[in-house]
Amino acid sequence: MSLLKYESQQREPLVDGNKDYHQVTEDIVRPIEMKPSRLWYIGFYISVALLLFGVYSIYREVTYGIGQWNLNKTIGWGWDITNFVWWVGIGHAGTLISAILLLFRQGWRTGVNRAAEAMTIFAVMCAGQFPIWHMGRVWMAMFVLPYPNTRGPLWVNFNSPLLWDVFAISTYFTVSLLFWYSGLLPDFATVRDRAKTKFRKMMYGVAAFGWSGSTKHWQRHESLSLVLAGLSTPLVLSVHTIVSFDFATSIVPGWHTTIFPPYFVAGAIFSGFAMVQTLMIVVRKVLNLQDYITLGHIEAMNKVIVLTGSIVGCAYLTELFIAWYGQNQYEQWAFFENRGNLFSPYGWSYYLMMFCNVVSPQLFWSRKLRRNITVTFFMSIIVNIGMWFERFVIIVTSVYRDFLPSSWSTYYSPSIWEIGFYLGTFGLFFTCFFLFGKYFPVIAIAEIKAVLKTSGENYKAKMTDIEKADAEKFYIEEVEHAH
Amino acid sequence: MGNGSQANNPWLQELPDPISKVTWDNYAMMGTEMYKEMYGKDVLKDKGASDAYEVHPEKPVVKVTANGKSLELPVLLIPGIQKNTIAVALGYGRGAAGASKEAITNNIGRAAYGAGKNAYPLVGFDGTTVQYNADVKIEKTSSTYPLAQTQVHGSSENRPVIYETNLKSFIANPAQMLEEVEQEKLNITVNGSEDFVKDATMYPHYEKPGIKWGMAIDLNTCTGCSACVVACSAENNVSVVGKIQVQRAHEMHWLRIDRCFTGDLENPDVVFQPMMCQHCDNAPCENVCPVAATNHSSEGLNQMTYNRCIGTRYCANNCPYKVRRFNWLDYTGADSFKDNQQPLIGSDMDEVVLQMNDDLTRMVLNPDVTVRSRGVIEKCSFCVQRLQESKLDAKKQQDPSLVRNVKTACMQACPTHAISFGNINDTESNVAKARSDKHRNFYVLEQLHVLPNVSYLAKVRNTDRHIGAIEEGGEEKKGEAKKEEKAHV
Repeated sequence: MSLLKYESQQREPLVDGNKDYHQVTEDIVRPIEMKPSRLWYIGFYISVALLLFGVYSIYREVTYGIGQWNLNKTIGWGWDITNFVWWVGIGHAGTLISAILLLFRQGWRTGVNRAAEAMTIFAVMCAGQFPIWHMGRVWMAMFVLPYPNTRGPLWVNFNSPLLWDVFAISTYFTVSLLFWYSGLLPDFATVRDRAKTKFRKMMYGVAAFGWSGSTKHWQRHESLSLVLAGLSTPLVLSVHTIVSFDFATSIVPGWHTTIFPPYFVAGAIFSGFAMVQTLMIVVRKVLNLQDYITLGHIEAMNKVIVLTGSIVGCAYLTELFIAWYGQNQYEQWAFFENRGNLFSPYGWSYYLMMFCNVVSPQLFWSRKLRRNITVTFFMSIIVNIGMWFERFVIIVTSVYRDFLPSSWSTYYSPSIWEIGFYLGTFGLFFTCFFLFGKYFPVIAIAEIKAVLKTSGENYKAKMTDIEKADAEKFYIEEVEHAH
Repeated sequence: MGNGSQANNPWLQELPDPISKVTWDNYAMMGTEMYKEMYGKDVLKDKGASDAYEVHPEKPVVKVTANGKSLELPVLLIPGIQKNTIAVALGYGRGAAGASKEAITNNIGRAAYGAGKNAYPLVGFDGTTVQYNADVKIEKTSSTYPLAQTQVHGSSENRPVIYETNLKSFIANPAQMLEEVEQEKLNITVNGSEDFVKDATMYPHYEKPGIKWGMAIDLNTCTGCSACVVACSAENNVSVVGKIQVQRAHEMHWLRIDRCFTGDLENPDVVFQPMMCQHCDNAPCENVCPVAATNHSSEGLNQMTYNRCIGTRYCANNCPYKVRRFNWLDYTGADSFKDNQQPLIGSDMDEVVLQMNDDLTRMVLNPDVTVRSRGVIEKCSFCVQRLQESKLDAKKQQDPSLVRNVKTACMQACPTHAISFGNINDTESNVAKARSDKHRNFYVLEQLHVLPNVSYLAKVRNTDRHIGAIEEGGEEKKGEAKKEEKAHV
């Protein structure tokens, strides 16, 4: 025998249990071929109900005006843009896992990448709703697209960060969707080939684009994956950078900050991984995939969370320092009064954010807690609450008391239709995610198979025997050959 | 409102009271000391309490009893009101006691219905004279009442927004008042240049030849009467939005009067500052609009293109003066969505908005000015329709100096001639003459380098008292210490 890749015995296996290729296919495709459980139906109908409530909230807002929301002359953006940034941020973990971890050859990504990419796409779909429907005249939304038109010299304003957003988000969505779908092709073909009903065969046959599994197909597939990974990598950094420009390039004290791009990117990955954790912990339990999404996977993601959480914490402290050091009275007011002063109207939101994003992730320095499912699930929710408040703090506590004290605002809290819109995006997200869980292979079958023989538990155990029998021969013949 | 004869005038009802900034209601005005005695909260010292008071429109209600009659009214804190005194405005709460809504709307008008409470029962009559003051008894109640206030914060927080001094120190050293801001401008300017406009930015400078419209407002003569606000509403078809919308800070006024309490808050001075679009030459609103709906004219106007606006509200966020107004709902009936002024489930629009849109009342609209639809931003245009007319006039008569005759609506209505307007490139224009008063001419938030086209002439009070923030020598420190304690009411 000869090895293509050798993985140290020190490393935890990426696939637990006694698996062979067939068993992997069985485990992952079975949920697609079975009738969904009662729980699935309950979850799905709740999601659809939320989605419908969201649709009605948007109907109200479009028919009667943005005045259905509690924004005002001073606070032009509130929950709408907060939710937008929050959802976009969540998407980032999927792209990081699929692109950057692929380029860095992190084997553990294979267990979670499919679902994380799906999460990215659904999150970006939710995010996109907010900048669209927050427009006062959404029926004129096509004005933001630079297409040839009959309006003479009227064209979009390339100086506006909102326009950059249009490009950033649409590019991000397109590339993520392509990447996700191209990865799905071989797995759809697997489902098609196992299909016992004509209808399923036809549907998955169409979805698989005629994948035959030939070497040529695999070769092109690998090249395409690398190209798309290369395209996605800068997007991990650029999308949230551009979103941060909405604030950083303005003159509002508390928004006008050069630290925003890296700080937003770190925060995006932070919240994204938290969301992946929330979803994965549920998915592995419900679909019985504990062997593929192992404690090792969860621990790896918790490490990313504590890292990015600490970066975000550094950014918060840097902001405070610069506000003091810069001696700009408006910025000082934004940081030390609007936010830092616990007794000011919105002080509570700043401290809630600090606690959720900076203090609580520090638990994950402990290996025991990193590998504890309950703690991880709880923390993943805390982190996403914290990251929602980060965006809320940035947006609302900056504008509600800015330059002219005469225009300082009264207390802003959302109307039922603002909340409804937000709940509606949860409905959209989970409706999509439930459909994904039912009809799509939630783990990349082909990719798991690629790491199975080096990182599967049973294969590693077999390797141990060979290694022990004649260690010297093993290293000279096999390991060196592999590297 | 006068004695109530004007109670059905929506423009007047929606015009904020110069001092209290409340619309559509009357209330019991109370000093800070009395408030402290009644509610145990010292808003002058306790910042948390004053914040909590100012950010919630719901104000505590008291029962006022005088001459054997009583009335429940919300309490409005106004610094400077004598301890043991409250003030209540008359002319509100029209209609006979217990009259139905229909009776009031039919006999008096829809705008009068529900606006405040009738305080006339509290007034005494001794047989010959009507007594407007009486001994009153005030009791706390457990309820609250939301007031529609257009400005909730009373202090300028020492920001470069207003300047004032007393006559003595102004004569002694006229340059002193604006010394600090002038110095700060020099600090921002690079390469030792003294040209703040040109050299305090990394971007290229453009010459602005020809007509460049500008305005100067003299804070000395402004009395805060707010005639300009109504004139502006009439000229520019500014919507009346009603009490509920004003409560939600959705009022549409293009021009507002900012009121600032200065000095000792137990006996404060007040400065009124008319505030409208400053038509910045380096406008922060213009570059953030994704569709270029707001842009700059070659005559220095910051223009709004309503047809192009998609309503992202980014410009309003980025405006340091917060003068941009968004059409939150369909206030003018100019919308492409039918019947959306009366939502099926619940309504948050006042009936007065509907009143303003019936066929007869719509005749009040100025045909020279577009009526804005829901979902677009609007703001002061410097009465561009009048500017255009004056230019055409000058062209027809072949006399360029005729543009000097142009008057904006606010300027025309101002009884004290506080507002001057014209071409600032024309040294003979009113505005250029007003601005030549170098030691008083300032721009609000000038350090931001947004280069406003509206300037203000600082207030000089004819008194020997120390005024506002500017004090001399050792007393300056004392003033600073006092300001720290200053609450924002």
